[in-house]
Amino acid sequence: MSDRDIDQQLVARAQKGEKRAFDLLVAKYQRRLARLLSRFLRDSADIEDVTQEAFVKAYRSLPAFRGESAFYTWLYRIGINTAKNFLSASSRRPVVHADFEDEDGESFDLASQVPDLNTPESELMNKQIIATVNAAVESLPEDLRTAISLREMDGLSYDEIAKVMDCPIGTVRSRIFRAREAIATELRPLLDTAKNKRW
Amino acid sequence: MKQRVSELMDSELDERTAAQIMTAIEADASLKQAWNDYHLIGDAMRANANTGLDIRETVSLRLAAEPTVLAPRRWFRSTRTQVVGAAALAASVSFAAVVAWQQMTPRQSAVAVAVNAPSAQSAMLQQVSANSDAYFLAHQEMTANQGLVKVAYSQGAAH
Repeated sequence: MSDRDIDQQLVARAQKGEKRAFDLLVAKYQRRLARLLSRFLRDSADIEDVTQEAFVKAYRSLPAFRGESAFYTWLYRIGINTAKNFLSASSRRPVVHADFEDEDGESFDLASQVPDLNTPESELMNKQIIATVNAAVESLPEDLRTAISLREMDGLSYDEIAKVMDCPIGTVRSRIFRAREAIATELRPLLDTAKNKRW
Repeated sequence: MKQRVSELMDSELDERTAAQIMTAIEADASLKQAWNDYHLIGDAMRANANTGLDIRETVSLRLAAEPTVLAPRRWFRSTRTQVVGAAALAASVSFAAVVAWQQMTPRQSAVAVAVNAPSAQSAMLQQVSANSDAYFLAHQEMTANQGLVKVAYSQGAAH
């Protein structure tokens, strides 16, 4: 199943009334959408609010979604329109405008640079998460580190990783999973501490 | 089971297994947490500046207040299913075309025969009627079906 198929399955479930399926899409795309919107909006609280609003609008619009485009493309469009409406309503101007091209090659009118305009608190949290993940990756055994890096950084499939690492595909499955669990174990205390904080 | 979650987010499961794992994630908080953590790890490794964002609970609470959407399932088919569907459709069209062609060919002959038939048919009827009138007249007392005799006779009488 392709990534798009998985999204479509989750959307189909949400369309049948399974709100939990939509929760999984939120978990998957919340940071990517926020990253996109951060090219429009200056304030981190605005980014969070608009990201939330975009997901709620997407949920409401699910009956109209027929899968002619990828879910994230559709979601991004809703996010951009929500941001534009927000800026229009608040009489604010977007940060910077430029063309943005998504993973399907569709272009959006967006900011060209990701502004570093988060609040000090959220910026600190971001840095801590990234630092923790990087440290956890560095401390992994070499075979796990290579497998997770090839997957997350280079986007290789398990089959491709198996060929690169000259090992069975089952070993790749196991290595990537173990790498993720090891990183998550390091990350969870930080996330628990940050729980109930805005960022 | 968490390994399956890891495989699902990497698009490394078949459709059936993926559906099973999705159901399991929806029902199990620890699997749901794993789904979120694994995506966060990926975003952090790619240095997404918004790794600290977590709006899951807020959105979930807002969605709880929303009426549940119910849309007819119109389009959701995997790529494989679409390919199989297209092949099946093509096969059906081809089969229908062959059957139609086979049906049309003899039917056209029959039509041609039917169109050409009247002159030959009427000539044959005239011949039969002429021959049978004499026969019926000769044997009418032994015929049970008087109607048939009458018809035969009347046809013969018309000549």
